[in-house]
Amino acid sequence: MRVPLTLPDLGAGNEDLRVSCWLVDLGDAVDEGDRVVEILMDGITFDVLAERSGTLTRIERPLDAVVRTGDVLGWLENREDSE
Amino acid sequence: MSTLEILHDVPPPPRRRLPPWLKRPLPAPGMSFTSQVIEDLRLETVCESAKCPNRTECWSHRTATFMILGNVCTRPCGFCSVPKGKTEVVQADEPARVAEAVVRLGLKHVVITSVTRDDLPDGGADHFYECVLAVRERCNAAVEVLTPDFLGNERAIDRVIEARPDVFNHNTETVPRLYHRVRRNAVYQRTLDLLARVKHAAPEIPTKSGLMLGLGETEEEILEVCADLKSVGCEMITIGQYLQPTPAHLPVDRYVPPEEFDAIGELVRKLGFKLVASGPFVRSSYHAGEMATALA
Repeated sequence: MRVPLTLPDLGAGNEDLRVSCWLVDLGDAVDEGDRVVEILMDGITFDVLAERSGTLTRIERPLDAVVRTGDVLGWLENREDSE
Repeated sequence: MSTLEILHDVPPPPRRRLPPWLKRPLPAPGMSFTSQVIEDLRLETVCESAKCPNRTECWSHRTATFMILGNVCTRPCGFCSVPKGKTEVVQADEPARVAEAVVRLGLKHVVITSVTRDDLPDGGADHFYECVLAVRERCNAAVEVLTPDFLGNERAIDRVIEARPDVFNHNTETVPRLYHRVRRNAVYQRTLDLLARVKHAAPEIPTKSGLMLGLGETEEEILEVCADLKSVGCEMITIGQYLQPTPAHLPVDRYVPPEEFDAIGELVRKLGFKLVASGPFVRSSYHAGEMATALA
């Protein structure tokens, strides 16, 4: 089952947010709670965490993309489905 | 291939990635409550206007630093993202709204700061006085003021002292050599004189000041400034990392690692300050309540 990796509300208001670093590569497995992607806002960064374990199978917002609350950043495939 | 074609093919320089210690925790549910209170009461915060990196953490814990006298400043400081330009009318009901916010958020310690209002005869000092009293009428929260320099206007400074804030905070921001670039229209000695005046007029009011690192200062210069602050009776000092709020503001000269902040903090403590907070995310009003409590 595919699970979206969604940008949570960082309290940014109308500020620009950017993807500053994908912390894992396509095809990497992550556990629930792992840091997956770094978001840059106003000179600081936040790490978006994996809400479920899975494999990163698709990146929707690449490095340097401007993103907003609620954007789907990528997709995690449940490990049982991808095996 | 023409020159224009070659230029189009040149990729933009890679963005400099921030050092790994400049990370913040994701906001907790309390943040939306704080945000709603601020919006409902039509209040400004330095948290938003100055793009404080601690905003999500502080607001998640239902604390904020209120910025009075509008959201437009009369100083062109190179480090600050608060808007500059035509100032706003001072609102007579703002003290009451600040006090209401303190009550709704359940604050035990509130920091009230302002834009600099060189256009006002008293620089906004009376408004500070009214805000402190308004909070005191509603609750027992300690009130810390973080003021501009009032252009050295002694009557204005005395008016704020008259309110007997629990902490009187005025930021030095940087070392004297960098004032022309970082803090234009401010005078280093004026900052020291303000803090000295508060300490002389009201020795029981703790005084506090803040510095930013990462603008090109040397460690020696930082220690000289701290020694100057100590000489005018300053008891508390905060030292944090300068972060460029927008590309239009001063670039960061250096990201100082946490261990270096720790080392600088230790050196500054040896100068005899009662309290020193030194770290990348330390700001003037960050954990201000805890600092004030520790001082007591």
